[in-house]
Amino acid sequence: MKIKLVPLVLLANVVFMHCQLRQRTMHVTSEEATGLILSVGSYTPLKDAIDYLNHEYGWLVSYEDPLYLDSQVEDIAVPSWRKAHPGERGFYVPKWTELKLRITKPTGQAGDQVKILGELVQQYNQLNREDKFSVRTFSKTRTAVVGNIRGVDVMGHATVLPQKLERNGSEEMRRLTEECGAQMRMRLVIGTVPINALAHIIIPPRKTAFPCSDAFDALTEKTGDNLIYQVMDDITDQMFVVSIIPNRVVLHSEP
Amino acid sequence: MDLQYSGRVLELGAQLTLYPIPDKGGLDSPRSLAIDSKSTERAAVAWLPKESDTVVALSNVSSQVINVRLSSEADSPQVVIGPHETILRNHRFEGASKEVIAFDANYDGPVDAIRAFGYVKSWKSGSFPLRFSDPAASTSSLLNAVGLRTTAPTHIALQNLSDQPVEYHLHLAEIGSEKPKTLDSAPSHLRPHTEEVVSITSPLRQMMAMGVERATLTLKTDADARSFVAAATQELQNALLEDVPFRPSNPRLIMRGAYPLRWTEDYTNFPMVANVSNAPMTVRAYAIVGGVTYTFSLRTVAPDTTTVFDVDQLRAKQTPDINGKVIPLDAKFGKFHWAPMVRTPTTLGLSGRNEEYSLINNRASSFSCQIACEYENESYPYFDNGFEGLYKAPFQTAARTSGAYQGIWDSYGNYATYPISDPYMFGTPHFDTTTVLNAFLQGNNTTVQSDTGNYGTTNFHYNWVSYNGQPSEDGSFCEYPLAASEDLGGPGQVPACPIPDDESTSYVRQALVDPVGAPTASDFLQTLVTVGNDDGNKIIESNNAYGSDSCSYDQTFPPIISVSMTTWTIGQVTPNYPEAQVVIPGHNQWGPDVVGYGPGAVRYFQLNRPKLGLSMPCGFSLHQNLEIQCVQDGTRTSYKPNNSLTSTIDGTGLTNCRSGKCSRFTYP
Repeated sequence: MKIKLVPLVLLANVVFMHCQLRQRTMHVTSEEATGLILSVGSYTPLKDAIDYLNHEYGWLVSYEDPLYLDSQVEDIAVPSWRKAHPGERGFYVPKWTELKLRITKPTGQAGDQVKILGELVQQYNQLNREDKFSVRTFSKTRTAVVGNIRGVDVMGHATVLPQKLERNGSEEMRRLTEECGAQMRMRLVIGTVPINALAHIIIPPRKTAFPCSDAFDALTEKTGDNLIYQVMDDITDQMFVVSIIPNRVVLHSEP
Repeated sequence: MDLQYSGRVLELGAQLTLYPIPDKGGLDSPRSLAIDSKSTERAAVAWLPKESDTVVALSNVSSQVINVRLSSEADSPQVVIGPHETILRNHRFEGASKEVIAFDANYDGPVDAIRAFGYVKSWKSGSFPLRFSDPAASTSSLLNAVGLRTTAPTHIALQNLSDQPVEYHLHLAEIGSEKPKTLDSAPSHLRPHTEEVVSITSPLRQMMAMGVERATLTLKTDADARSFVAAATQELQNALLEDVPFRPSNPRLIMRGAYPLRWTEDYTNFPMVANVSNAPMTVRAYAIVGGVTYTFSLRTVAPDTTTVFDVDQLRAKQTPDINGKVIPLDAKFGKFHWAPMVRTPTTLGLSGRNEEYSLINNRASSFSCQIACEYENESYPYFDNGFEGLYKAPFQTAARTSGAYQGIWDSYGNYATYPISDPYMFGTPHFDTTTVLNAFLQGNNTTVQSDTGNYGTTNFHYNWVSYNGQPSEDGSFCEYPLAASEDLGGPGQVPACPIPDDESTSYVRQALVDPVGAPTASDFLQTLVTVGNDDGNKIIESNNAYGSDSCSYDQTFPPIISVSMTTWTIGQVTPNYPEAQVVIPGHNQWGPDVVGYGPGAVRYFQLNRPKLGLSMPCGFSLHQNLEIQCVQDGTRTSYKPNNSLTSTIDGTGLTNCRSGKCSRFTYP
């Protein structure tokens, strides 16, 4: 009996370890004088690397998830919930990934951002994964890392139509979400946004049609100079979530 | 015993308590300092109880041989004392009818070479010290013994050192009363080079019959200051004698004092200051106990009165001083300082004494020693509300008020503050004025009022006059006026618009028409607490500290840990914003400040946190700093630095709060 029990206990542990939300990890070490090694453990490791650079260096890099394939995701709902909700959809996340990304240490010079993002993306794309990423440049300081599966990103060729009237940022956010979501493979909902700040900006008339990514970036930049946007794949609810958030929290300091 | 220390003159005091007869009362050794001597003569006189002994110690503190002539020693008047040698001379008066003993010593050598001390010892009556003094050091023939007990048999020993007869009379005045009861003796005479003892037990009993417990004795003579020596001895109880020294009230030596305080065992303390001049005198006094400076209000002592500083009662009742401080009950030792606030060249007037009394220790000690002229003080103005920083609004009367105080430091670092109400303490205080701020003293110089003018910044400058030091020995003043001007700091800033003191917040409604927050966010409207009109100025929010969000666990719905850094216009509707069309800010109002999670986030967390075994409820907490920006000058001023914004999601809805005002919605 004892011999049979051992593998059963081991198996239970394995199942339990995967059926829970894991704490993301990020360790940064220097490599010689000019390099950094980012050791990341996460469901979205490339996004975590970008979050680190945004926070540490004040970069303004937005992010768009790819539409993950079923083979890339896993259900991590806890057994107690599963037992209480038989047949219901659990909670899905991209499979946990641990990797090391080597980049040039940012120096604050112009061109740093695009160059280093290129290094990151290149390394990630060399992994044996179906999700790939590219860097989209909006301006000298504003970029986005955009995910794709087999060359298709989630915004794709989604565009917003010209607008004749001025509107505030809240209204623009609602319209962009609706218009862009209608052209995406899943609906798009509003995530975490600066509700008050959006209400206080005026968006001028848009004379031409605009790619959705560019429209979201323009709205983000107009709302605040330290904001970025991100589009995440809510695998569980099968929708995309677009948020506008600060690249890092700025505290008030007396003049 | 030779005690030396580093520090200021008279910073340290020391006194030996001797018990010559076991189980009888103790006596204190008077101090012996080089600065107390001006000549090579020493004199002492004392009452001689029946069957008593005297002991006289003569110490040569110099490095040379000194010949001392001691007048009362008929058998061996000449004493040779080697360097740093002490000799003792004992006398026994058993069976003798002598009631008074006088010693007169003189010697050749440095004026401070010989230190003389002695005591009278009686197996029946007890013991008390023989106080030797240098007659040449006395600058007044007006001698005072402060605060004698009227219940005690009291003996006054007198000695006339001169070649002329001296007329004297005794004056008793009740202590602790502004209109004291007094008693005067008829004039008496003392022949040249004689001594006598006078009992004043009877006059003191008369005072006691008038309800007087203590009286100050003034000995008035027609002698010059160097010709008369006196000593008072009171028989208390249980063979306990108290020696109450006579002090001349000359300014250099007497007109300020520093005495120990003690609350061990049954010790009591009784500091007193007497004014024997013909003019009122103002006294400042403070007790330093357990790190607390207990400051008495300035006390004007009328002529012929004695004021009492009853530290024991004030400590027992924990009575606050003028600055609200109390004497700590757990402190066992302290010190009491007093000094005159005299700004005219007065040459006499005040004498002080503290009596420490303990039945357990059979001890009644007098502390009445003087402090030298070097005991300086300095005074500065002190204001309890700074002048720098932001003033709330332009063109405001009494935009800020500040209590004005006189801070006084003595040379030992003791510090006390007084309201600036004594005209002696300040000269002509004057604030520099500007078009930005006008500050001036008010209310008998007890407060400073600052009125704001046009907006801008300014530094403050204050001109004032104070005094240092004390009257000197020859009657001139070693104090000196200081015409000083002091920068009080700055800058003081007057903004172009009123700065709110605060704001009130009110929940108005569910944000039903906000394109991104509806219907789970809440509209709050704020009313500024301000002195003027701020309509048209801006409210800018920022983070006072990092926020926290316990709901967000992945990146799908990122955590809300920052305010949105929004700017509102006071008293105006935000254009093109549907919520602002229904939540309209009025005069000095701003908003809406929309607080809460968006509906997508609420649903996401309600549905998915349970799947991961994560607890509910959860929520965010933000620390909002609010600034007002004056449109006219562009200044930004924080007026509410840490306003709380929270939102809490549970299984059936959420609760949004701003400044503790909350609204709850059911969702979905």
